[in-house]
Amino acid sequence: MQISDLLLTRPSIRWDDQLLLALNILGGKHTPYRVVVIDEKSRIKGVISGRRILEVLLGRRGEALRVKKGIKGILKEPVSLFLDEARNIFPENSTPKTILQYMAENNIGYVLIVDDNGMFKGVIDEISILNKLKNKVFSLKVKDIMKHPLVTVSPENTLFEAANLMVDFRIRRVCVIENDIMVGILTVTDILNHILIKEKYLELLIYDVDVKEVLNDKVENVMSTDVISVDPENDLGEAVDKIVKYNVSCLPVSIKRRLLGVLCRIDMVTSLVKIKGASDILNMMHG
Amino acid sequence: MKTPVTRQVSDYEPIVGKDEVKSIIELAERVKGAKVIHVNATPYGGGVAEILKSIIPLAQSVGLNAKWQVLQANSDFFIITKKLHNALQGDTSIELTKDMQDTYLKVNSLNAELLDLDGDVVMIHDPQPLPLINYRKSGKWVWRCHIDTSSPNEQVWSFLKYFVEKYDALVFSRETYVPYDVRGVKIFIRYPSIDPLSNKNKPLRQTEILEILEKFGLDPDRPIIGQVARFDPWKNPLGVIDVYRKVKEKIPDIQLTLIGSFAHDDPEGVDWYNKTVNYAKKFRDIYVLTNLDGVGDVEVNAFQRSFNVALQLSIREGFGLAVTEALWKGIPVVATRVGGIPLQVIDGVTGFLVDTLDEAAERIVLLIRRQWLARELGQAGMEHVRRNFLITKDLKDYLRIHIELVGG
Repeated sequence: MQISDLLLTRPSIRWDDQLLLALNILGGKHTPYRVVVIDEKSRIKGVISGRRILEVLLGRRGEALRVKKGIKGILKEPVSLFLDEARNIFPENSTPKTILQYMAENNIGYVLIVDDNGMFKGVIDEISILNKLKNKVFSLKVKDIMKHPLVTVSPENTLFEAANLMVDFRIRRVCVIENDIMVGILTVTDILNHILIKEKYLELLIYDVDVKEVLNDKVENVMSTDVISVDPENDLGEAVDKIVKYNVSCLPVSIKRRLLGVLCRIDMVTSLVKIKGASDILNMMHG
Repeated sequence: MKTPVTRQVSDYEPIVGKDEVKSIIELAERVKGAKVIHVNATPYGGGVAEILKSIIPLAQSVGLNAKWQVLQANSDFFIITKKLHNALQGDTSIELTKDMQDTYLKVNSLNAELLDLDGDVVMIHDPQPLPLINYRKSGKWVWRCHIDTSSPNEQVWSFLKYFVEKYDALVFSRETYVPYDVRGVKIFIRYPSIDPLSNKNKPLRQTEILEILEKFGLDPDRPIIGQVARFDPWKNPLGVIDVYRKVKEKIPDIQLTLIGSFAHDDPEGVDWYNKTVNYAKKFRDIYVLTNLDGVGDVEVNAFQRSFNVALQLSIREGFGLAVTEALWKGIPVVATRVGGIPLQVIDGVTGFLVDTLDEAAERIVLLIRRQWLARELGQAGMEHVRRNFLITKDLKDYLRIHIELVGG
């Protein structure tokens, strides 16, 4: 297996593009959680994630600029002001084993691949790896890998409250619980998408945007109710298949809709590599 | 601390490229003239002082009014803050008494009078000056925590958390270091970095390296391994000697250097240095050297370049800048799987990660016997640092934090 077999072409934006463009990309349905920011020569400058945009919109980042320019003003600022400096950069002649080990050792969900001249070639992330591990049995149970504790919200909470919780706990999603039963899931992408729908002509607004007002809707109106979950006794292979088939970043683990834990893509990759070893996982990816 | 501008950001162009320098200048324009004050506990010794020594003049060179202030305190204070440091790294045996708390707060209160804390951004490094936030006059305050706080001593953490939550922003070296109960504060994750043009990392002529080795009595024709770290239980200097003994059974002419400096914020340093020296006395060809022996930045640079293999066998580690320094010099590193080390040492690519001292010894022997492999890993290590851990990235990270807090 070569690096090129794992490389995903992900959307990238220019570092002098407006933050609004990043919001438009990251708020779209079925888009990746982060976009790579490049310069005019296709060299990587950094990465910007959905949570970062949410932090900016909530006033939790970019404070000084927000005071001076308002949210509309911030959205017109170049994305280069808010990105995370590019790290975890690897050359394209790295081996898949190196990348697997690095991601697992450091619990890192993605690496950026560049050519000899530093030009951006693509991203290898958890999905690149899990895509190659469909229809396998790992003899590892979901309950042995799933994570606690859980951050949950009620359907009655506002999106603003849920968004702040996600920023506080540095997570991408919350499970929605009512009477101890899981009734939905809400992601950062859902919230960004909601903002885009509500503020379709955001860039044309004369007055500034009141994000609290925009996010005043209840969680139940925006959450996904067709939650794809997994049983704690299932083999990890079944969880991998669901993650890939439904293109979700995380699976709630439940019995009869009672939430027990969550299983995220990075936990799957990290656990598989640490328990089985990078070489065995690569062999399984070949097979 | 006086830090005259000795380097310009343009000096880094041959290493990081013209465009990277241009993007730094563009970011800096947004905060030009801003007064940025960094406060830490020691002017030398350890990674924080190392970073500040470089980042302050660089920030000045792009138009920031950057200042470096060092806490004034006696050894009683530093005994307490070393305990705080150890407790934050997970030592659960430490109990912070009322007297200790009082001394810690009193020294910070006195320093609030002595130091210039009137800046647009005040960046406080590590736990020693943390309570200075109580004396905030103006500006935005940021706590830069360089240590692994993923599983802190609960009693000590609950005491420090009171101050931490008063800051406008917090910076940690890894996502996993963010304490689980810190909420509502802006959090940045930023990797530390090294300065490729500093005396510690700049290229040296082979003759300079030879002169330095001979000055300290090492034989340049025999293999050398070494660890550069403070004398501290977390850095495991005695473990390094145990590994050396195992290696010496296979490679009898091997030499070991243990290099550290006595930072004045580290009162355990002398005890651990003495322990190390006493233990080392039992064996041949071990050189335990410090700044008091005349080992400065250039000497450390020369020693690191002379290593066949660099070691970092720490028990806990925030990031491990000594690993970054060795990799940058093309030296493969054998290191423990802790803290920020696995971000740098990629097993079998830039060095080897080990879980036991036996494993460390085996890997060292392998690298000394197969020089082609050592060269290959060293080269890969240097490129890994170039792509990920140079100070120009750190400077951009700092500039972005300043822009977010006070920029226009």
